[in-house]
Amino acid sequence: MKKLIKKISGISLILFLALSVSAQDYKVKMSSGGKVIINKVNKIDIVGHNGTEVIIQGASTQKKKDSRASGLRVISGNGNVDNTGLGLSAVKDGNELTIEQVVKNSKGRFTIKIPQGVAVLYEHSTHHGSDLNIKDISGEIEVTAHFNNVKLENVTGPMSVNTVHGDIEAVFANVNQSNPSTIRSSHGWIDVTLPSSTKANLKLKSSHGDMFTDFEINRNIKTEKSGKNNKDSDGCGGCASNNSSMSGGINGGGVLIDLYTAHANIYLRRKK
Amino acid sequence: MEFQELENKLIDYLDDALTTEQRAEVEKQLENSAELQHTLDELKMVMEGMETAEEFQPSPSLKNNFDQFLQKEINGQGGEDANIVAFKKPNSSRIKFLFQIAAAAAILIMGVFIGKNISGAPEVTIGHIVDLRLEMLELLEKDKSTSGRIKAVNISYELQPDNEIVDALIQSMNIDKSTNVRIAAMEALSHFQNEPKVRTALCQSLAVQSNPMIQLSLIKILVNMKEKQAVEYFEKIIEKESTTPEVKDEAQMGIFKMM
Repeated sequence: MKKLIKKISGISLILFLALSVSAQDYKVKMSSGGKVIINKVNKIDIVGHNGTEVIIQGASTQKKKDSRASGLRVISGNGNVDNTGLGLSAVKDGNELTIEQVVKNSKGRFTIKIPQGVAVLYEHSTHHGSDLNIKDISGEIEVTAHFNNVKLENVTGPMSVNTVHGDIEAVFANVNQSNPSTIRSSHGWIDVTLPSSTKANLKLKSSHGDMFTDFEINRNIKTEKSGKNNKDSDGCGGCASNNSSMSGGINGGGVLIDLYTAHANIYLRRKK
Repeated sequence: MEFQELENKLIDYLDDALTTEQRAEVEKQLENSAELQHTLDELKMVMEGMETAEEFQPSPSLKNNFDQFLQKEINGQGGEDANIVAFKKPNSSRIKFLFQIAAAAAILIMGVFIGKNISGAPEVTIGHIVDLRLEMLELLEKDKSTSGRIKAVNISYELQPDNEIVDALIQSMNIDKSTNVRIAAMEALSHFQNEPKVRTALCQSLAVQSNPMIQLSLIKILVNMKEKQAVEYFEKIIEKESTTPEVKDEAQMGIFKMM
């Protein structure tokens, strides 16, 4: 009997916690083939899940309670309002959901859960950008950032990720062969892990850094045929002379994976 | 080393893709085994045959299939599984696989040859390239997914640049809503840098772009091209208030390097 009471109280505690968390969540129905556009959200984890809704979690608390703002609502430069109660605006247009941070200096970290097969676009351009974590996403991923570090885990691509100052780390579960994946940083390093059997054509370029790998790269596999008019095949007229770029295939070649950093190193690893 | 493993190494051996040590070992084994030598000779023949094989034109039905596939891709209904092609079981021999390809190619060539003779149709020249070109232009303009448009940009590397392709790439570089597609288009254009039109377009684009990643890449490309007319655009971007410090630095360095 004692055990039973313990069990029931345990379950009700879990239920209570679950309810109290979900009370703050904001949910939007979204079907496969849709797209979630996340704009100017400073700190965020984007996670794939098996549901049919986009779920936004986490609270945005303003740094100081502003008594002057009481009775007023906050609006963003685009005129968007906080309709989620979390400091974010969420606007759905057709099969696209746009999520934007309304409060500029929020301390809060958000989690956005994305259904499988939904594409994700993240854009951020100010120095408030912090670590961006993306996990378990099987749809297309696109990131355009300025200061964010980007960490991708258990992803498949296709993806196109670029950030100016951030580092980019990507661990692929497998590599989607339909469309190419491109990862670029101007000042940060790039660290990519692929399953060792991945078939891919690689284009690696680091203008001023070094490139490291434990893959056997077959340089006889051409990633692109060069037209007659091309001065050289590495695409930046003269870069080849300083030994900064290379191309080739792994496991017989496949979809294109393009990694570029101007000032730091590239690390390409086999999944252990 | 097992025979199978050695067999697999032979392809790399012929491709010149082995390290010196691996190469020495393969050569040693070759001396000792007549059977392996025989395999090597066969393999050599197949690979040479594949390289020298006459280019053939796709049959109308093949082209149809390709078009359908592409349409499906454009509509985005392909589904992920449909796009993933598994060629090979993990343990099957690569040599067997190569022979299978060779056999398939031989049958295809024979089929085309017979087909040509029976129908007596005039030979269609560059038909395939023309199709590829049209598909590229269409994908670039209409594909909704970013990676689809990047793929289209990558196809342009395989084509001879003509006015329409160059214009399409310039358009993508300047107005595509995705930063990543813009960068890809810009890099593709830098391959056609012998065209004066391309050089001018790259310079002018600097006045249009506002994303620092694109500005940085563009400045690098122009500096590498040693394009003198870029200097005035560099000066403009330095004067612009909204330009970020790192872009101003890169432009300043650019002017310095071009002097």
